[in-house]
Amino acid sequence: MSTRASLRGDLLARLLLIQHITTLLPEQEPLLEVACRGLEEFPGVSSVKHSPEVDPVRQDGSRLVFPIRHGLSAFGALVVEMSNHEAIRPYIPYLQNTISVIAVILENQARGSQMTLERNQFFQHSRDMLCIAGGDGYFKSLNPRWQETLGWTIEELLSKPFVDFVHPHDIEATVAELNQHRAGEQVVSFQNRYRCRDGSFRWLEWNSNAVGDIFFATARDITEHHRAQDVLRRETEVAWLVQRITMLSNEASSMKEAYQICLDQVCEYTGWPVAHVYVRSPETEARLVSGKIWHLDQPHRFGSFVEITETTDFDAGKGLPGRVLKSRQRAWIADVTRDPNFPRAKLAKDIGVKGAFAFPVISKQVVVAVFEFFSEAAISADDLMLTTLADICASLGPVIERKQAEEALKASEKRFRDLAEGSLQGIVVLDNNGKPLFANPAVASMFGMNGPEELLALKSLDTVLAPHERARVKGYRKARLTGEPAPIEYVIEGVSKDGSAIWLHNVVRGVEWEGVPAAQSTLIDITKRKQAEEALRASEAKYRELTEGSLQAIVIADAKGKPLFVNQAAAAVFGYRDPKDLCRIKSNADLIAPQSRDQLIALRTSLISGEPAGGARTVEGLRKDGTRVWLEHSARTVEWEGQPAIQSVLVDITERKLAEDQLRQAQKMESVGQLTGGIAHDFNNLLAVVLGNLELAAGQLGAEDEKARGFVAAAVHGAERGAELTHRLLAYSRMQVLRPKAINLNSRIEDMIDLLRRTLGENVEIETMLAGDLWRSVVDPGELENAVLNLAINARDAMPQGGKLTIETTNMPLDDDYLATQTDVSPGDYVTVAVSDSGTGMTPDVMTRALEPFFTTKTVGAGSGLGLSMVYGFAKQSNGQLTIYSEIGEGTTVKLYLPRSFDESDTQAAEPEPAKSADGQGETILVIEDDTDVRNLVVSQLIGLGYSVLDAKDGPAAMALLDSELDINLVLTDVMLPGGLSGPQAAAEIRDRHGAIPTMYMSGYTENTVVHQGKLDRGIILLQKPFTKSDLARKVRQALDLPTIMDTSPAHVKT
Amino acid sequence: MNHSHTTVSLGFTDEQFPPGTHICQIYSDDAEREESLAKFILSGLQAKECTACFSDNIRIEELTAYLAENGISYEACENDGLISVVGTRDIYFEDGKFDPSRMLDLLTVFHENSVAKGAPAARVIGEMDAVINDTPGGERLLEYESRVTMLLAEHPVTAVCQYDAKAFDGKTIMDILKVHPLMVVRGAVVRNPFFISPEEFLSEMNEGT
Repeated sequence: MSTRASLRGDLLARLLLIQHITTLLPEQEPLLEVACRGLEEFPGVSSVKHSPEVDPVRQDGSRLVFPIRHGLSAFGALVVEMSNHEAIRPYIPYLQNTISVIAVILENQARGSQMTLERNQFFQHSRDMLCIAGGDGYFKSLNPRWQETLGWTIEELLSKPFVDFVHPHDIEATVAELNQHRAGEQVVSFQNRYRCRDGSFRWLEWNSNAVGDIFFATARDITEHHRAQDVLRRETEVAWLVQRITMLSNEASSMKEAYQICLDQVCEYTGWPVAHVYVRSPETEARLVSGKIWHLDQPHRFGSFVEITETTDFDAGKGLPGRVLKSRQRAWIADVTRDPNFPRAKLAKDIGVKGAFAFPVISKQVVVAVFEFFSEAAISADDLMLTTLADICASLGPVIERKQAEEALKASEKRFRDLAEGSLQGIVVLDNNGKPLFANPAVASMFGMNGPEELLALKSLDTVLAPHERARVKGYRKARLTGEPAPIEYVIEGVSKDGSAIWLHNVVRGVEWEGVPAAQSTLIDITKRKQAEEALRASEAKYRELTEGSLQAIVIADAKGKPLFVNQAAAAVFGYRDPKDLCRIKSNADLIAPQSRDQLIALRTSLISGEPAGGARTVEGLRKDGTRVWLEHSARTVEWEGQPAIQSVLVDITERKLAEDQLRQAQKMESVGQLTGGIAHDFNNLLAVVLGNLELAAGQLGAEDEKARGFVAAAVHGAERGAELTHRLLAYSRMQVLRPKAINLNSRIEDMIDLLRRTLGENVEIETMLAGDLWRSVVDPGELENAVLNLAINARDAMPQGGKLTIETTNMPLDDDYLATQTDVSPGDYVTVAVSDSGTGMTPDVMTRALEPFFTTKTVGAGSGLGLSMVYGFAKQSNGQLTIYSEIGEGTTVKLYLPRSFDESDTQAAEPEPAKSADGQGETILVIEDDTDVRNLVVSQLIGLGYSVLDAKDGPAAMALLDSELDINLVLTDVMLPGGLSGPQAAAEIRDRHGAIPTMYMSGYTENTVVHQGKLDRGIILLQKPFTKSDLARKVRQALDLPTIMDTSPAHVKT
Repeated sequence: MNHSHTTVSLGFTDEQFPPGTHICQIYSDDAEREESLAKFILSGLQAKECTACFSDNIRIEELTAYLAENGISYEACENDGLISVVGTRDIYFEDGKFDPSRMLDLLTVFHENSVAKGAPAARVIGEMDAVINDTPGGERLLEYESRVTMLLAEHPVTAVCQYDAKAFDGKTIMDILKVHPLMVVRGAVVRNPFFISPEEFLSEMNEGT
């Protein structure tokens, strides 16, 4: 609606301007040209041409023909070619009006010569009114045109003074014009109104020529012209009024000023004394309150009216303003003093106003104001005025809308400025080129500037951004302008005035700033935070670098145990290829064996609640494949990406733990071995005495003492079993004396098969898998057989229902990798003997304890618990190893590792055959023994064998004897002696003092004084306790019969 | 220093206008032209504005008397450099040709000088002579007027252009209407409904050539 009204106003103004210009042009040609050019500017018009003739030009759908005609004068026609008939149709009446005005102007221009012609030639037939009047004030002659025009007969006109026919208002002016004639003016032109016979008046334009006392005058009826001119004048005035109001109110600095301009302009035009503006109540659209904006010609006169009006509100429908508010239409009251719906009627009467007019101002479909105007006289409706005021109200709507928006914007901008000035956040408004339009002190301070002025002087804010940021920010700005997506929140790096880098968090939004589109940035200085973040990031990166490359396994988890970071080492420990896979598990508790989980969760809880971490703990970890791994676990709280977290450092101690277990086992074995060895030594001495004396006692019994002989034999048997037991203990404790040889194990085992079959019984099938090219190995053959037999018996016992026994030999080079899992085996080549059964198998616990002496799973009395211990001791003493592999229900394999021999011949000299007669031949033997019982027994036995015997309880005593008795053939000494000299030392001393005397040792167990690495030193003859008399006889004879060149002196014996 | 006036008086109408307003007066009566000119100069000098007049039909003695009646000494103003009167043909058609660029430069300098002098504003009233139609460069009249509107936005000189309706043909008069945003109608300054913005006008003109 407002656009149409505005367009209509604009086109009307154009028409008026054309009319105005044409009045300035005295020539027909430029006048018509202006008309044509001006009309061409109308919508729907393609061209306008002047045609001198009307007739040949036909009007049709695309052409309008406007004849230019006034009275009898014709000036051709204006031919309007149309491109859009609909567009021009509303303006056709206005065009016609304009053209009629142009016609009048043209006719007026042509008038002078035409009038003269008529006067002279066509007095009687003239279309104009011609007359001759006398100085007496009466017409003298009139042409017929008078009667035609005014209705009076010629006679009637001649009968009265002509001023009697003149409009009373014009008489004075008419008389004045006539007086000019009388004063000597020859030609007078004027206009006045003549009364017609019907009482109406017509405008006459006079040209009077005075000749003496006679006036020759021409009067032309210009009533129509006047009417047209009057309409034109009013239309022009009104159009300019509308235009001026629109223009001035547009330029007004406030809405109130715009209202005031409208009131003043309308009142100035109408001459009305009172006007006022009602505005919409802030509370409701259905009520009007006084806007307190007035036009008052005489303010003092209308004081009471103003006072009442300003305190009276009008609801929709009430009074004049209320009616306008309700109907949204202009309203006109001819006389308010008589209007029942005008509450201020009495007041109006008092102040002397009657007529009232009001119109609404509508903005966005809402009545925002109602203008009311009051006139002193009662007035009737006037179409032109109604149209005018409708136009004013239509054109004011958009103006008010704009003013409202401007005022709202101003208020908003003021609020913004007030807020922004005091804001701690930086606020800057930039135009589309980045030029600052507004900046608050905070943003200036962020850039190290003294005040906003310094920032506002910048051509673009980009100049204080870090160079690498500029293209990005410019790109965002461009995107926003073209409507492409651009971030509204981001961090930018700026450069402070002192050159330092600053980081700003920026939130951008589009705004309108003083009427132009702009962008508002709200900036927060996050430099410190950024620096802290950078430092943290660097620290975290360094930490990450350290931890990622760490050989220790590191797992960082949140308070619920969810892994946040895992290094490669941790992934490897838990059997994952990629740390990321490990990060996917729900909780690090899943990495721990069930029995350790509660402990881990408790630790996590206490750490998160701030309790101290404590030291490292050993936990059993669970690998991806389900296998277990022993871990040393230490934990502490750390901050990870700003959140509290727990860092676990894990060290895989599986191997160490295994080694420790093995060591512990080995130490246990060693200590048990020491203990048993000590017992065995003393026990052997006792057995030696027991056996020796039983042998002596048996020698004293006669044939009749058969019963006593049986008792002695039983006692000997028991003592021999005791000796066997001590032998086994010594074997376990690796203190037995081995006589190793380089042998082929295969042949030894094959030799044993028959024995094994007999021992194991029919229920056990025996299979051998003997390597074809088996290396020779260095081992005591007797002890080897003993070991294999023991293993076979254990196997049989594991197969009570029978089964299969397999003996396998292989060559086994042991490299470092294998040995890494073992504690006390040297790398090298070994020969293995594996004895497997298909029996019940062992539990892990049983397996762990299987090698312990006296540990047995057999029923009481079924085994000593020393069999496997002895085999183990033998293997170790032979510089080999023993391993057990067993599975419940599947069977057990015990494997002996025995060192390979590279010597193809026997390394141990064969023991010389004993002399046929072991008895003595009077040789003198020195016996050194600290145990009196043993010494006495040996002395007795040697004497009984025919030797001459000296005895001493220790080394020094022996030396003393030797010093006095030089003829000694053999020294028989205990290895372990009190008194400062051991057996070997005493032997060495003797040799030093008395030259080479054969020496023979006896011992309950062997220490490294005469036995090294379990093997007897070369040339040493040792008699192991307990021994029988025949053993003694054989060994003594052997010692005495050795060639003297043989080095029997244990020079290398260590003490 | 910027001109501090927010509005200026034209003298021949009561309304106030912002500096830099470009107004056209089409007249048919010499008395009307003279009256507007005298009032425009008077109000300019009263406001101490730098004032220029380009006219071949100015009667200095009458102007001096008129100003004196209103308390302004033409001589003193001339001595102070506040008023300069130049003949239309001398200024518009120097060397026998019409050069819009030279005229625009002159206007720029005129404004800059007024600023330098500390005058609150500057104004010019110029009477165009129909001889322009026969002068080399005269065909650029409309281009010139359009560019004046643009120039005044940056150099806010208040300018009134006077055209004699009797001296120019109808087409030219209608064209002149298109290049002036405001015009004088019966002593009142009104928005010109035929006005076309300079950018649009010059663009249309270029398309036409």
